Amino acid sequence: MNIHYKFGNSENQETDLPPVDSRFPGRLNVWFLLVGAIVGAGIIIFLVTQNWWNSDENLKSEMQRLQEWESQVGSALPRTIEALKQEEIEVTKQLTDNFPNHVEPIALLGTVYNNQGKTQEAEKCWQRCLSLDPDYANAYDNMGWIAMRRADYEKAVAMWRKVLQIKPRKPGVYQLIANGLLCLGRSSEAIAALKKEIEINPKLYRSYFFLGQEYSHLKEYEKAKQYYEAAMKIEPRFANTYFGLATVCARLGQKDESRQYREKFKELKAQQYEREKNSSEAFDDMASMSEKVSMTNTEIGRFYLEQGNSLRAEQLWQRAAALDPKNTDCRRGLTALYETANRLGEALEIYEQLRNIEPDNAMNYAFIGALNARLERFDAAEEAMKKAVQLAPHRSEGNSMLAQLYLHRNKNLAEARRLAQTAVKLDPSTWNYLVLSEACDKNGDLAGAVSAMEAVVKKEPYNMEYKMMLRRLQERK
Amino acid sequence: MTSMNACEISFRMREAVVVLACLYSVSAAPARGPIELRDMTAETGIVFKHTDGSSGRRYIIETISAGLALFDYDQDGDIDIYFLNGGPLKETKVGVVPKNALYRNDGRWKFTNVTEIAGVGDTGYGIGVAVADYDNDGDQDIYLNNYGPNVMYRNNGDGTFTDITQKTGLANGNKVGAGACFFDMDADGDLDLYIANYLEFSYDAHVSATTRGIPVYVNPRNYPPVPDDLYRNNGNGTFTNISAAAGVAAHAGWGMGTVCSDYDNDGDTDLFVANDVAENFLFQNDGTGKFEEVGLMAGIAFDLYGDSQGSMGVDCGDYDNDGLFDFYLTTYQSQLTALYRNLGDGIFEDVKLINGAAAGTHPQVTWGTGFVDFDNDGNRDIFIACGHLMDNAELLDDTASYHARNILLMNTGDGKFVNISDKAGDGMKVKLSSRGAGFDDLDNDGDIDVVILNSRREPTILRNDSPSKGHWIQVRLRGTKSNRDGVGARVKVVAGDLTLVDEVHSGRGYQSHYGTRLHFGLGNREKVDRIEVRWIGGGVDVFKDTAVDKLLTITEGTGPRQ
Repeated sequence: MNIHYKFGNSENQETDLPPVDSRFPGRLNVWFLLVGAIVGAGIIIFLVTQNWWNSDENLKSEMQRLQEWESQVGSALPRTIEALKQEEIEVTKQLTDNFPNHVEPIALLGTVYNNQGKTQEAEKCWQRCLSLDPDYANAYDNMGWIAMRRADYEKAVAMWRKVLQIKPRKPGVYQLIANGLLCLGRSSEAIAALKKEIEINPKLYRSYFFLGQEYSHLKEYEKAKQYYEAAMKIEPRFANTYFGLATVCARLGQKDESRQYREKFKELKAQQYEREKNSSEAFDDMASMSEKVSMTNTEIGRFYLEQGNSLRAEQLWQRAAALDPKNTDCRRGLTALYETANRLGEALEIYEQLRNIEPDNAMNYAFIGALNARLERFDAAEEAMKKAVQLAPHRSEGNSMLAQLYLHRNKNLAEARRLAQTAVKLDPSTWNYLVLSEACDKNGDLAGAVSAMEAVVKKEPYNMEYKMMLRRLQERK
Repeated sequence: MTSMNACEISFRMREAVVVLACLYSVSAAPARGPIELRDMTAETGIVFKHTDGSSGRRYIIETISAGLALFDYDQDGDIDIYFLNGGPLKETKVGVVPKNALYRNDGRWKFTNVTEIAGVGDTGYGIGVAVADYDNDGDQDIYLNNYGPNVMYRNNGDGTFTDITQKTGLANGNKVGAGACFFDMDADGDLDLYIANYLEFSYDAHVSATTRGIPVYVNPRNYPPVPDDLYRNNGNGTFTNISAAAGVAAHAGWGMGTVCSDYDNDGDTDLFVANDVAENFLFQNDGTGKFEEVGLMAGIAFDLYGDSQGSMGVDCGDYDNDGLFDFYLTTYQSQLTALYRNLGDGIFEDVKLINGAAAGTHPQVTWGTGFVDFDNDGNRDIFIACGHLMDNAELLDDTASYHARNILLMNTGDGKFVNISDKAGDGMKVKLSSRGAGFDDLDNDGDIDVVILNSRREPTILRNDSPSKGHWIQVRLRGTKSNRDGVGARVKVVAGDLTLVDEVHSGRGYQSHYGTRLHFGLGNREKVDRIEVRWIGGGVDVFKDTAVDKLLTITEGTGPRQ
């Protein structure tokens, strides 16, 4: 039997490249990292076709730039917040210069301006987005927010109505419109918008809360109470709902209920104040700005990768990592790149950083285990995988990987079989059945191996390789 | 003249030539709004310039200075102006020490600085002020709620004042002051004093911070809140701190503006305290000077959403003419101001979204405020003083600005408000960073003018040139059994279908004082059918069939008793 394990440093190695979330902006989904080989190969092919990987010239110049960049990372971090802000603007502007006809970079520049308090510049960017793509709904959305800040409620409502023309069921937009309408004193229209919102998005508790308020204003206290109660059911920790409930109950003459809700409101409000106080005390302006710039670099890196420029992506993600020692997104991006390029040591180093940032995330240990195994550091691999199993006993990945490790090293074979069985129980995937089949086989349980392989073939009946593997097992019976 | 024992003061009518000039210019000028406020600052001779004592260190105190007082200190029938000033804070170098300034109103929009003669040029760090005749000797005294020791000035009745702080025992330690109110909490005929305190500050405890690299003033929550103070007037020229016994000391907050009002119409005066970054206090008086804090139950502690606001100033008045006193609260940027409608039974509802009472306020930091019937139509409009507390606000957010135009919301008579700031005269185009605002009839022409204290700058003096010629009546009270100024007395004016109520306040708005004489706009009603005065202590005087367009001085006990 010849399973291609996900570790070991042989030529037949399948890569472990995580897919890159193509949404922009968005976040990498850590669990998708497990979907390895096919997507990874696809990305490599894509990069190759884009001439970023194989072009000597490109490679040389990019390598030079990378070296220059690497010498800067860490040693050239901005010393002032002003410099950080400048860097954020510059790096985003550079992106827009490189991709002048792409909406997303311009929108991102708008967001950067907006976050830096420059709403007029931001608005220009979003207008430009609309000139490139009149259906770019985010631009209208953002301009709606700015209009609200300027107390231009008519414009805010108009902007959000534009969003709905493009994305008629976008969650949250009717609620925003309702807020604008409330500020304009157009209560009945606001109520209609809020009802539309909960039709689209029945879990948005604030819409129920606002409806409670509006009916309270209209002195329809029973109806108001119902909406407040609905809000409370969805989000019982939202203090203001209890404020509303205390008020309407008082109006309805329900004094005991009103008192109870009032007490709950006071309790939750006190907690809110405490949280705000802690947050305020912990606030570090330099660190906060570094985090923001780091996230911007991360987003820009993602865009470059999508455009096939993995070296630039790497530079930006390295910069992001240097700016924010807790940025996990950029680090995940880097691990993906390093694994794709078979730079396993560097990938491992980043995973170790991720482990330090998220010490309770089992997947970091699982990947550290896998990389150590590929680097043939089997003791370290075993230790990491055991930690993964310990942290997430309900997940199959750690069990499966540890089983594979034991099978690969021909040790603890009984334990490998037990782990493989656990993995199948937790996740009866094709891969886990394959591992189980191998584990049974190596433990002399040919019937078990056949049974597991039958499950594999049943799951993927058109995979000829699996059929062959099953036939070979059956022939040995 | 009526049968009442009241004196009548005639008023100068606008000069005919001015009226004619206005009439002739109508066709050429842009359409006039129903209310017009003209900037008269340059013509008044007032050269006062406020200073906040800052030197770039951004002590939080700098943001809250200061209020002002409008009152007739020399009893010549004209309303005079007293500006508070901030003193130099630690390490601030000044050539001339800033001081408070008293400007005597000489008539015809001319004012003279009489600070030195009057002896009221306090050089402490001025924040809040209240004015009242604390000793019932017939003239109005001044109380200054400073950062540092407070000051009590007794009016000597001859245009001068004497600092009697030590004698009265009203220095109140070394706190960061805010608003202050005189009121007769126990109906014993003399005025007690409520002193709001902002927070616990010392230079050693100063917190400096930046946001996105820009130096900012920190949130007040970086400093501990403190309880306010309540002093009982002993009736012998001294006061006793009774905060604990009265039930006030148990409540610590970040006090800002204050106003006293009989919100529950039970005949005694209650207390409202606008708290920054926390729930507001409503102290309900049991009639003996014992207070219960009922803000949350009354629905006035938080805004309509249940959120605490950066509450700044507060005024009370009956905006919807239902006989109940409503409250208007100014707030921080990105918050809407609040209008708490009094529903009766001690309950309020924040109705700002229903009636437009917060229009235009969202981008602004708002401070001084007043329910004022500028166009004499019988409906109280709302004036809101605006200006950010950070001189670099634009760097942080270009939708904000340190200098801002003030806001004027016109009451349309159906319980709603319309923002008419853009068409209310050049006085509403002034862009400074306003704090305290006061409202009174500076030129005795029967409409209410405006005085605004601007942080770090000259004040703004606005003359009411509204084209509307509604009738009016002003009422000045003279207590005999109750306190001399009638503070806390409730006046009801009935003219045809219109019923208006007001009460005399001492200390209101943003840490300011104004409006000792009450002003009622009457629209086209040509006589007042009935004036009812309910004095603190329960006595009621009623007067019938009074002519309009004049100031009445009503002395307690001179009308037919009810």
